[in-house]
Amino acid sequence: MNGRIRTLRIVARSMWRRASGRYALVVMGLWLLVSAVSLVWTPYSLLATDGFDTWGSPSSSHLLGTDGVGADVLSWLMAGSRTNLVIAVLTVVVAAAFGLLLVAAMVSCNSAFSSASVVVVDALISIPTVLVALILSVPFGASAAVIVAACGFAYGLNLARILRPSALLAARSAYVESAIWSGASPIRVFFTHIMPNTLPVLSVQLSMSAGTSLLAEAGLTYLGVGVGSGVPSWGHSLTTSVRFISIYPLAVVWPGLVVTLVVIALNLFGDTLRDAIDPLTNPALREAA
Amino acid sequence: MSDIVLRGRGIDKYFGPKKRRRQVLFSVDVDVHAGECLAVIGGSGSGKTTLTRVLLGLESADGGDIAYQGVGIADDAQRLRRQSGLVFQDPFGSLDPRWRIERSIAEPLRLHHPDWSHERVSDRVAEVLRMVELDPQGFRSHFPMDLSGGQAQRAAIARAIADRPRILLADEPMSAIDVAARIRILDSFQRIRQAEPDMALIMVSHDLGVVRHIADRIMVLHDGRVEETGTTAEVLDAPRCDYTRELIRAASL
Amino acid sequence: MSATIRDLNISIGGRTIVGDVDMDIADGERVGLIGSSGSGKSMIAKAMMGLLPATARVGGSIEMGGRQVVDASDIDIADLRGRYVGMVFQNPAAALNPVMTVAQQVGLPLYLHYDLTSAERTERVGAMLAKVGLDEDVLPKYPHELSGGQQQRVGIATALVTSPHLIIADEPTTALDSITQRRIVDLLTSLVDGAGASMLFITHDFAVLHRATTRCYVLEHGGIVESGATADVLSSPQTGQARRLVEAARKLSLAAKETDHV
Repeated sequence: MNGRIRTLRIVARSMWRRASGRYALVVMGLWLLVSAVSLVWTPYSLLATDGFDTWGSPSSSHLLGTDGVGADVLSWLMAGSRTNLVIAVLTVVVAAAFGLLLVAAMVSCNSAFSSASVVVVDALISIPTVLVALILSVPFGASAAVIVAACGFAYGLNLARILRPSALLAARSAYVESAIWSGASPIRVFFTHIMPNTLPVLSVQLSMSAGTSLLAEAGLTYLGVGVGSGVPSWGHSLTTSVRFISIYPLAVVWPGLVVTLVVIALNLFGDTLRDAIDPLTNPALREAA
Repeated sequence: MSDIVLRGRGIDKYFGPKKRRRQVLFSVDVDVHAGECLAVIGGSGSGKTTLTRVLLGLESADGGDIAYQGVGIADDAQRLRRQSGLVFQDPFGSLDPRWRIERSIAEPLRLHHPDWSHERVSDRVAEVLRMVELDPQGFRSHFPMDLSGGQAQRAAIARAIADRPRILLADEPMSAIDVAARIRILDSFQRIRQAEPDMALIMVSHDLGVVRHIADRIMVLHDGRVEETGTTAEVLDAPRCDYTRELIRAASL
Repeated sequence: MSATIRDLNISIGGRTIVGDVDMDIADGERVGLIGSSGSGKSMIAKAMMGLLPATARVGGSIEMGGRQVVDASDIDIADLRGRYVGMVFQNPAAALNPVMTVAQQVGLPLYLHYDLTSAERTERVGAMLAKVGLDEDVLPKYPHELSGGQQQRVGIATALVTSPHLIIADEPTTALDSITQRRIVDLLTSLVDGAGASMLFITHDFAVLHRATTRCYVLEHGGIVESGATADVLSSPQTGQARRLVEAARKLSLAAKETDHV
């Protein structure tokens, strides 16, 4: 257990050493902090509206101004951050579970099935995420769950497709043959040998999935199949203000800026995590405990 | 001669899809005795690797019978697996690049003896590391990429013998290694054989010069057929076929 | 073609890989470069071919046939490489393009560097393959359809088809079995001598070196520690590294007496 904590500390330190890693960690730390704070406190109640102060410019009372019904933009963005956090985390969990399950099936089955499965996965990847979300929203209505399901499905397929080569390389290696020979179960081999050897690809791909899920949330909410109306989210803030972009451009800038900064942070997070978490590229991890 | 641990009779093996299948082993007979080193020698494509993989059940035979300690290997594959170790040609291929050496060597021990204490596993790892002349203090926490080819191969050998196998199969363990480092690998094998006098060592090689120091018997394979089998002295001093003579010429300085 | 290397230094990422190397290869001479893995011997070959990674820093001079290679432009080196210097690689399976037939592969250097009609090209490719002991029926085959020995013969044919004046062979036999090894070494030396070309032969195995070269350099940690006639180095190695390599080759040779135990 001590080893785990030590590893975690080395990984964090290695990420922090790079400017891109620092940026990613700071933005993501802020995101977590704001999400937590928003549970107990926001500058204004989300329901507090002021009909005389709509589309207000930033001021000392409303730091980011007010929206079309006179609600505080900052409060809505703060509350939205936790919805987006939940969507991003759940999407990553669903995509990882689904993708790894597919990869496990693809590498463990015989070669005929394995190449057939590539064709099937390729075909499924070609289905647009939006279409899946639209179909799901018919029976289930617009909700965060629809976004998570649609994104998890699409990113899981992508993950499987991208992980397959490195997973196959590991699966066909002599060390896996030795492990199986020593009596390791297929599940054990997958989690101890194959998955760790795909970790560089896995970490980048999952961070990117988290970022893409935020973009998908914004897009799907705009189309009316994302989070329900009245639920705070960055996509919701964008949707309500985007129609007035030519009159009140600032109202679009705030949520747009937040989404952009966070998506960039997630992509950089994946990049720096890949280099920091892999003992082959991070010498600090190879030092003796 | 001591008792036979592994006996193969009339082993046939085919490769390729049904229509274009190609026979790679032609009714091969082989006996492996406890405690001996049997070298299986031949050029590339001679079927030597296939033969040894079929013998241990890593691949299935298309004809013939193979028995481990008198029991057909198909009936009791589990026992042969637990009691045999594998060493491959590419030293870096047989160690997980993202595992420390200690973890790789301990893997068979942890799988075979879930009841062993942490200290017991760790002591055995140190013991086998010393057997292959790698200082446990430094090397147990190394990653494969920080080792030379020769060191990595010796670590791979340590892993293969960690749980005291009855049979050790080494498939071209020295051909990817520098000539100078080959000597130390041979030394390691010698030391292991002294420590485990009952262990049978099957060594696959294309080089008679490499195996003459260690093999008790040599089996020469050519195009899937046994050209000759005999003690090392018999095969080297009085080769009975042209192919063996050519191998001898190739191994002379 | 002669080659002269003076004060060659190669460093990558601030780490010195090769330091202060001087080497001479005379016209028509077969010279060996021997060292264990990691000694930097492949780096010297790569520097001669201008194939070092872009991050490498090279100092000193490498002159081949009177032309300076260090800091030469890619175009100049490409011309030198194609017409005057041929290279044989360690792993033929990786050095041959998997989607090219043998005929295309061997014909490519001719196509790139000489202005020949396709009939002339076909004729020269056929003649070259005959020299390396391959039948016409390998012409339409792809590398994966050939054995390791055949692949290396194709590699040699590709290196020699332009009649280069200098051949650089980087561990050309390491990936092959012992019988094929011997045949390939003999083939390479006879072709080089027949063409009156020079050769730099890189290996870690004195047994192979002895067969392939007349003079050799011993490399350790990126520096030359010993040089001389191959037979002399083999019979009385002066430095520790040379002694280790010679002893290893002796012990692993069948000609050695049974009394030298490992």
